[in-house]
This record gives sequence, C-alpha cells and structure tokens, in this order.
Amino acid sequence: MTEVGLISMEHKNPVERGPKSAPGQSLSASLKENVQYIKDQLQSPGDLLIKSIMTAAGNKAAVVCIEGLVDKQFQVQILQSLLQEKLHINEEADSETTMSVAGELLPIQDDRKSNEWDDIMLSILSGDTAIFIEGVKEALLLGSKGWKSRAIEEPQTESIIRGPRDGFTEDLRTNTALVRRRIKDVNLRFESFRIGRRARKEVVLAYLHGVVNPQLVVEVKRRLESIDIDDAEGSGYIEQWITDRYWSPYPQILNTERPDKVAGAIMQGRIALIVDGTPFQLIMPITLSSFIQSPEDYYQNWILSSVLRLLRVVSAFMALFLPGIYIALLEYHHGMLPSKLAFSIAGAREGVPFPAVVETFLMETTLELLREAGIRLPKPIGQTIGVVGGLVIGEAAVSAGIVSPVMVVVVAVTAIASFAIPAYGFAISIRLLRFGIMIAAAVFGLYGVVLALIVNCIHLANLKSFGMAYTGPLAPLRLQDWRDFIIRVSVMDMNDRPSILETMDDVRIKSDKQGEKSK
Amino acid sequence: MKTAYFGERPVTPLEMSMTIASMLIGVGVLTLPRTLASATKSFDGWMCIVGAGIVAMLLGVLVSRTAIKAGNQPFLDYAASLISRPLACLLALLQLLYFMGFSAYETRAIANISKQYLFDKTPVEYIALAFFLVIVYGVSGSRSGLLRLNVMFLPAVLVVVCIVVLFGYRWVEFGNLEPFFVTGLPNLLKGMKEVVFSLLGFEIILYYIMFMGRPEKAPKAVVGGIAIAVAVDLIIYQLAIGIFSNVGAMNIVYPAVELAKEIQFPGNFFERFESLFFVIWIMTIYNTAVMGFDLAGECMAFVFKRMPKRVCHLILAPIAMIVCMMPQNLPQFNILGDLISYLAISAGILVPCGLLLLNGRKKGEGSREGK
Repeated sequence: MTEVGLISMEHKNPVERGPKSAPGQSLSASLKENVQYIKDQLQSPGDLLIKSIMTAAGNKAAVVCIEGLVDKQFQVQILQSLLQEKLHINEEADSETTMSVAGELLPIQDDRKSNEWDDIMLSILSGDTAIFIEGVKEALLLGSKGWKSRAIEEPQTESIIRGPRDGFTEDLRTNTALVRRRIKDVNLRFESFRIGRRARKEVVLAYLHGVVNPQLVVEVKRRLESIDIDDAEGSGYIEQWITDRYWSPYPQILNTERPDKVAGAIMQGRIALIVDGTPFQLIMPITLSSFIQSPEDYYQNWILSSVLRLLRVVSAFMALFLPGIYIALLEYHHGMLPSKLAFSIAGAREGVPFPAVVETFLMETTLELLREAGIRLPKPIGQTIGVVGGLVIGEAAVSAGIVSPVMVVVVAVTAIASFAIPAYGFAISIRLLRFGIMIAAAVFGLYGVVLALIVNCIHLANLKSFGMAYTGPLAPLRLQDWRDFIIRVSVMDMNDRPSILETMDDVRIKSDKQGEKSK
Repeated sequence: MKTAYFGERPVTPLEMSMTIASMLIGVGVLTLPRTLASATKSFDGWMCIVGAGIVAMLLGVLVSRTAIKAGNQPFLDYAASLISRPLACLLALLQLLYFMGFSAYETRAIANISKQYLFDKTPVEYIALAFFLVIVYGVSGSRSGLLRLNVMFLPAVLVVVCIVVLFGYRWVEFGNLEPFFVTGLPNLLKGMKEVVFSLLGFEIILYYIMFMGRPEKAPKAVVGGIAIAVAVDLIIYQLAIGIFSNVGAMNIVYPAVELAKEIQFPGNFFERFESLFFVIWIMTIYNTAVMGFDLAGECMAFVFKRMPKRVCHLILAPIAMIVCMMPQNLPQFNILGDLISYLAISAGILVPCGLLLLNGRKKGEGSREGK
C-alpha cells in the first residue's frame, strides 16, 4: 500500500478525528509543562490569555482564560485576590493548601477542581478561568463566563397581542433563567447534555419531575445520546435527528421563541430542549393540534380563543385546499358553482390564455417567490416588497391578461390564511403540500382532492411524535382532552392535564368532595 | 401514584363502534333505497331495515363472542387450534377471497359512481386505479393507523348526513310514505336479505379485537356500530321514499346521491351538493375498502407464513384490480356484489359461529375429561 492509503485509513477512525488530547489524560505537577500543554493544544491563538503570577503565598501560578468569553471585571478580581495578602494567612503554605485556600477565598461562587485535561480544556473553551499552581496536579476552574449577548427582545416570529414580550436569546443561561423564572417548582429539572464531538454544544433537557412521564424522559434521552455528529448546528439538527419520521413533511417537534410557550408545555407534562446558541427551543411530544394553538389563547377569554382557534383550523384548511378546489371547480365541475358566479368567473377569465391549472401554478409560484424574496431583503424593504410586489404584480398580471382577477383573490386569500397559522414550521409544510393537492386536483378534480386528503390523513394517522399519536385527541378519541383542543373551555374547567401525554400527575385543579374548586 | 406508561393506548369500545360503523357504511347505503323499494311497497322497507338490523346485531354478538374466545391470539391461529391448520387455511383462503372481493367491489362502485357524478370522460379504469393505489398506500402503514383513520372520517360522514337531512326535509311529502303495512311477508324477507347484505362487514371484529383494551366489551361495540349504520340506513331510506316516492326510488340507481342533488341551500351559494356529498362519502367507502384489503393481506399472511404482509398486499393488489374490472355492466356488477355477500355470510359469519359451538363442545368434553 502507498502512504496515501495509510493516511486515509487513519482518517476512517472517528476517534482519530476527534479532539487531539487523549481521553483521561491528567495534569502534571510542573506548571511549565501544563502551560506548555495548553499552548500546544490550542497552538497559542491570539485570544488565549495566559498570565503567570507569583501568589502572595509565594507560589508560582498561571491564570488561563480565553479573551472575549470571560467577564473582564471578574478577571481583575481574581488576579487581585491571588496577589493580595488575603492569601497570606499561612506563611508556610504549600501549593496544595494554597489551592484550596484560593478556592475558598476567591470572590467567585462557581469554582471546582479538576485534574483531567479534557474537562479543563472544555471549561476554558466555554469561558471558565483556570488557575494552575506550581507543584499541584489539579487546576482550579472558576466560572467566569461573561460575553456580549443580545438583550432579551420580543420574539420575531411569534408575536402576540396580549402576553409577555420576552423571547429567548442565543445565550443558554439566559434562556434557562427565562424558563426558571416562570416555574419556581423545585421539581423543575434541567439536565445538561453535551452534543457534538467537536463543538460540544450544551443542551438542556427541561421537564417537571413528578408530572412528566418518566418513560418519555428516558426515550428523549436515548435519542439525544444517539446523536453523533461533529456539530449540531442550532436546534434544527437536533430536531431532525431525534424526530420520529424524517420523511414526513409535518414537523413532529415544535420549535418556539417564546419562553411562556415552553413553560406552558413543561407544565402540561411535555419536555423542552433548550439548546445553546439559538433562540429556537424545542418542545416535544406534540400533536397536530399544537400548531393551531397560540399562547395567547390562554391569556384571553375562552370564548374568543375558541372562536379564534376555529378560525385557524379553517385557515389551515383554506391554505391547503383553496387553490386545489379552484382548479377542480373550474376544470371539472363548473356545475357546482352557482350560475351567476360561474358566469362572472367565466367572464373574468375571458382572454386569459391559460387553463386554470397553469394559471394557479403560475400565481402560486410567484407568490412563494415574493415571500422568499421578502425574507432575504433587509427588513424595511422586505415588507414593502411583500405588499407592493403582491399588489403590483397581481394588478399588472390581471391587466396584462395573464391571470384572472378571481385567481388573484384566491391566491391572496390562501396566502393570508397560511399566515394565520401560529406555527411557522407547520405553515411551511402546508405551503408545500398545497402544490401536491393542486396537482391532484388538476388530474382528477374534486375526486383527486379527496384522494389527496385521504392520503394526507393516512400519513397523519400513522405519524407519531415520541410514540404519541399525532392526530390526538381526535383520533385516538380522548373526549376529556377536547377541553383544550379546538375549543378551549374556561380556565376553571381545565381540570386535568392532557390525558394523551400520560402524565404522572393529571390534576391541575384540585376539587374537594363537593366538587367545588378550592382555588 | 400512577404506573408509568407511554405510547399507544388500546382502542376503546367507542372507537371500535366507530370502526364497525365506518366498515358498514359504504356503497350499500347509496343503493339501498332502490333495492328496498323494488322489494317492498310504499314505506314498508323500514321494517326490513329494523329487522335486518336486529338480525345483524344478533350475528354480530355471536361473532364477537367467538372473537373474545380467541383471546390474545389472532383469530386464524385460534381457528387452527380448533379445526387443525389445513382447515384453518381453507377458511383463511375463503375469507381472503371475501375481503379482497369486498374491497374490489367497493372500488368498482366508487369508479362507477364517480364516472356518473364527477367525470364524463375519464375512463373507469383510471378512476379505480387511483383509488386502489391510495388503498395500497393505506395498508402499507400501521393497522392502528387505519383504526384512527376511521375515527377521523366517520364524524365528517355523519355531518354530511345531517346536512342532507336538515336541508332535505323541505321536499319530503309525507303522502309518499303512506300506506303502511301493505307488503307481504315474502317480499319483506327479500328486502331484509338486501339490508343484511349491506350490513355485512362487522366480521372484522374477529381480527381487530386484538387492539381492544377490554375485549369483553366487543359485543357492545359491535352492536353500537351496527346501530349507527342502521340509523343512517333508516334516515336515508326514509328521506328517499319521502322525496321520490316508492316508484321514483325504484328507478334511480343511486337514490342517496340523488337526494343530495335535491338539496338547495338558502341563497343558492352552492349548487350540485351531490358532488360534495359523494366526495365526502368516498372517505367512508375508502375506510371500508382499505380495511377489507388489509384483512385480505392478513389472511394471506396466515396461509403463507414466510411472506411479509407487505408482499402479500402487493401480490393481492393486481388480482383485486382484475376482479374489480371484471364486471362489464351493472347487472354483472350486482352479481359480483351478491357473490361476495354470500361468501361473507358463509366464511365470515357462519364459520365463526360454528367455531363458537365447536369450542363450547370441546370445552365441555375437556372439563368432563378433567373430572
């Protein structure tokens, strides 16, 4: 074999491609060796700060951190404390005691010791400060994380009228705090995982112990641990990796920017995954009904919310079927339209050179184009292009005789209907499926539309989110869950958690023997 | 403290009732007023429906008792333990023929009616093929998914029936329903036979009982399902006779669809409701056909143990399509329907009931020997 062959062989082993340090390697007693090891490992990058100092007790020491990931204020404090007389208590202090005394006296809460290089390097790279002391085989790791992050802002993708305005940021700790601030239960569990062989991204599994079904937690953990990738970018990678069926156009995990949505889901007995570096956190398991529910429903009067949910269901159906039905009616079943409407449509379509199918595909594709362009453009222009482009192109297309005015109405209504769906991921799936239904309608008319509906329903009936039927509570029929399905009953009547989640504690509202609500 | 349990809960009796109902509500209802009107005079067909309903319920209870006896093992394995495997294979083949014929029949019916009400030019073959492909897609998923599909579709169908009733009553002439009790017993029996044929299909409980959490509730579930189907039959028959009169209903091929045609909504915002009615009805016919085809595959998998279910379905699909396309005209199509119904009665109802008897006998002997 040639040398090249040997090299490629080497690269096939995934361990070889991982971090260079051998796992389990521990520190040496020599300060110089330790500092050199870090320099070797990181190849002395510009943002690596190594400050060699002489502690007040007379030991040689080195303070190591990464610039930009640590709080400057802390840094000064640490150095001051190390150099100050506070540590002077014991004149004959050897290095070991200096280390423990340093740990006790430093004005930092989060400190621990470690002698494993893996652990130390990961800590330094995550923003901790490491202190090495001559003659000690341990390093003191101080939590000094502090970097520039975006302030908490209103969520961009899910804005509501009434409700909290804070949204998740890219910073994991801020995000966990946002959730913790809403649920002060001691049973709220945050379990941390590191995902990604190289990126080592932190992911927090959040759930309410004693409410959530333990088997569900086990299953989510199992799937999380199965992730073997160099870097799980954002929450999208994780979502796609742990989803039940990645062939499905329907999202089986909900993503949200809203902490109140996550907190609400956790309280219901679901599990949330809070991922570092993205404002989009994941909620699982979900059902189809999760997509028509907005947190606002719970903040408003139940009658209003129920009607609004109904409206969203209708809008989902319209976004899915309207263009298909337009094609079917015009191409196959003119008779189904009232005669006056049929005449006016026929009159409007006079001079349009294309059949309804081509016309619809043309306009729908244009609309999708506009929408995509609107996202790419800078924000102020993006909105203008949405409105102006839609109106101008629609108007121009009609006056140029390419499409009929009725078509523009249908396309516009479809677009608006798809915007009314609270979950963006679901709205995209509907946009995609709409084209499939249009094709079915073009081939078989209404018969095709209903066959497409059936195919869709079979797919949905077979779909599961973490083992939970996706079409619940409609299709494993759970009548008690209908209280918070399309109709949301009044707050006092939502006694139980969704039964489909099989929670360990169903009761939300305790009622005494007389059936009176105590709270 | 509850025990931890997650995932799919077994099917409840209500869901099983809905499954049975969607199996029974199929093509039969659409033509039932015609067949009944030709057998009986004036409005006397209601006695046939009620009578046949009671007969079907009795048979349903018997069949579901057999299913309960089978316990946790699949019905065919249970049959094999009673009557030896070769005989059970024969039974499986008979049921396979029945179920496959059943779904083929429903497919053909869909194609025929679509041809009449939705398309003028599209050939029947293509309409049937599209439908059958969707059936094949349906059976390739999980069976509990199919059961969920029933629960999803049945409400839509019932809503459509309600709309027909709500807006159709304006045209009912009660004079058409009179006089009562004028049909002789032989004709009533003939009518009953037709209704019983349209109510066949509850035998699926033999196979689907495995999904039930409490199988002992199966007879109740079956009776409930049959009751829903009988109620729908009665409503449609009554409306058809009330609007078209007996003679009219006799001469309309699909009286139930024509009923929908009569409907006019206030303000005329929607015309030709029958297209929509039929389109919704396709969903329940689909349920009937897909369950039939699913069970056909199940029976075949019993006979050929080594063959995966999916392969069975793929082998059966072209055969079913050929069966579906065999009848050249309406009379031949009706003969196919009758053949399948007789097959259903023999393989689906009489044999299981026989097994029940046999089981009782064996048990009696067993207990005697034990003593």
